Amino acid sequence: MATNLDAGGDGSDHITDLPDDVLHIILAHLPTTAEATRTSILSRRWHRVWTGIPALSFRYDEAPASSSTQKDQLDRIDAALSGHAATATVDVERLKIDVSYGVPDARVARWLLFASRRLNGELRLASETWWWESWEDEAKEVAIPLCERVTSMSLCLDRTLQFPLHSATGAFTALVALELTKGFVDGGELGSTLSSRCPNLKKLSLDRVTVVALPRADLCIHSGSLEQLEIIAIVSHDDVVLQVDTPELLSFSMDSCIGIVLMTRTATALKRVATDAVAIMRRFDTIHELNLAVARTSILARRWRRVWAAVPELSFRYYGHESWRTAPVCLRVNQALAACSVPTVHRLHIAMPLPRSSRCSFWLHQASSPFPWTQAFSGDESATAIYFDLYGYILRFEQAAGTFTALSTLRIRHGNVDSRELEDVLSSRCPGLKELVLGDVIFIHGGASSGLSIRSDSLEHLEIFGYMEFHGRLEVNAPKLRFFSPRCRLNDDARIVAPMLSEASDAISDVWTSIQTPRWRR
Amino acid sequence: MEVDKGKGEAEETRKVAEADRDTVTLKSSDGKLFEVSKEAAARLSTVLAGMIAGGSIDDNGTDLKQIGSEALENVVDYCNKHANSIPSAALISSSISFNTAPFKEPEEWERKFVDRLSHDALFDLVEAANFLGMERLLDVTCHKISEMMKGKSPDQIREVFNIKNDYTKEELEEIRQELAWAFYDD
Repeated sequence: MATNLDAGGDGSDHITDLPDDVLHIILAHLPTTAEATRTSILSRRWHRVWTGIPALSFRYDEAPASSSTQKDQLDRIDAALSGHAATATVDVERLKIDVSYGVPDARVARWLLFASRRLNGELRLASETWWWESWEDEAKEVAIPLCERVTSMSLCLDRTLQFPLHSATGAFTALVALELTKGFVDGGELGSTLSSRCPNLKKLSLDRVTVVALPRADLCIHSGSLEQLEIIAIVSHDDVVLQVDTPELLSFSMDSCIGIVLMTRTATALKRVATDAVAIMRRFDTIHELNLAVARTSILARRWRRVWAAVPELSFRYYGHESWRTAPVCLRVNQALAACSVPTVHRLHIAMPLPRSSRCSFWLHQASSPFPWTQAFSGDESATAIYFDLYGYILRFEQAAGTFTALSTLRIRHGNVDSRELEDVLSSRCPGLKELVLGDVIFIHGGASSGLSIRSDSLEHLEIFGYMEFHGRLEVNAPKLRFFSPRCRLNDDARIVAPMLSEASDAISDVWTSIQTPRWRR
Repeated sequence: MEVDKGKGEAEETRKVAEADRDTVTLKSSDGKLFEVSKEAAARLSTVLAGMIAGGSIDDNGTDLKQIGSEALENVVDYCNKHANSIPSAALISSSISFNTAPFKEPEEWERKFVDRLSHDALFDLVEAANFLGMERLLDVTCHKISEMMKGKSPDQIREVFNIKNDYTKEELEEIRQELAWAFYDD
């Protein structure tokens, strides 16, 4: 279709006749404020149009090589802001400054001052620095002025942020969302600001923020409006107590935090809680799921019993590969389990590399009594699902008596399994097993690789995938098997007896010999 | 009543509209009549919504003296297309967000809609959208105009839009000095 946009139509100047409001919308769509401002030299009509743009945006993605170029760029931002302040006819609805290098405190303070006086909307200030860059030899500290009309504030400034003192008047009345990334805050200052000066705050995110204060670094958030709370990677060396008292909270997540003790008083409707610290949830009335990961945490406190009393699912996760560090973590899990007296837990999840398999044995033993999980080594009557992620260790099943009466799902990944023991468990000690998943498992027996023979009268679903080694053949004898997904190379001599799966044995042998066969269903 | 339909209108639309009497008739400055769904008109235009609510809609054609027939046809066409399009995820995203631009990028069909317009028609549509208080259409058309300015020198912009430079050399130099932060060479 022919369009004629790059030539001037009938030759008349339409754009100059547009009202200022419309020109502001047009200029606000230009990527930077500088570009919009350059329209001032088009004609007299355009001289001051740019001062009415409701959005200011400055972005310098690449850190320039020389500090004088950085200074030039920052000077331009400052000149633009003061030019705007001197001539503008409207409040700014959005101010965004993104620079990829450190910015001196005085400049950041000027940006914030501009926001507090003229901004009627969204603020984002980001000065991203890398830890090896030292950019200024100064205090790296900036005071956040009261911004009564700012609706959302996102600050990534990598310095200490001071919040208004108790004696100051005014409030962040319009503030709905606050996001602090990389920086230091005084727990008392931030807490009092959040609790008494942000009456409409709904969303709070603290990411890589260090809470400091003397003598104690506590942070208390009392908010009648807060709905979402996200705390990421808060690091403290001396057990910050985070008190959350937010009756309207709907979503709470805590990730990769160290040394945080969480206390709450009221949060009745909370649906989802994910915390990665060993957090102490004192009085959430209802929690549907709680993740308690032991990632390098330093706390396991007396309050565990109360925490667990309300929680149907428990999860311990540890991400890392240094086995020497997992030993104390394992110990804490042990303590936690030993201290726990919950009548029913729906799910117990422990994931970490194990320094010794005996740890696992202890957990499984613990699990056998209060948890419907399993005591795999000797059988357990109440576990319904067991997932083993072995991290390369050998899984052994005891010959002792006892059956996995309730077990319907068994998944084993990443490790070695004694094939005879597994065969015994599957054929005679899992009468209700419906689903078996084996991934990256090496089968051994008597110190050598071996085949595997699966016999189960109840098995309906079998998945085998990843790096699997069968020296000797794979046999499956499962009269009820309906679903089979072999996503690995199997030897030609594999043998399956599964009448429900397929009448055509040819089809089965095709599957056996194929590589990476996708899901195959009868 | 003779109705000059917008291009996007199908015959069925007209039948249904007549049966339900669920449309409003708009009259352009040059006297042509257009029908548009009452629901879409009220949703997309604050001015039409006010007129519908206030009962100042004329069954024989509400006079819109400021809008020519070509622009009004485009307005009606936009309303019909808008009513038929499924809003993208971007338009129904969460209201609490950190510094998301208030403006949502044009949908594919909106882009095509403005791309096919001639230079003059585009500006007529901007004015019509502004007059009728059609926020989204105004945003989409202004976005198109900003794309025509983006990355161009002042001289190039003057050429595209037929803007007459009425500054003196001295004045220009003065402004460049005053706004030196914007006139840097990167």
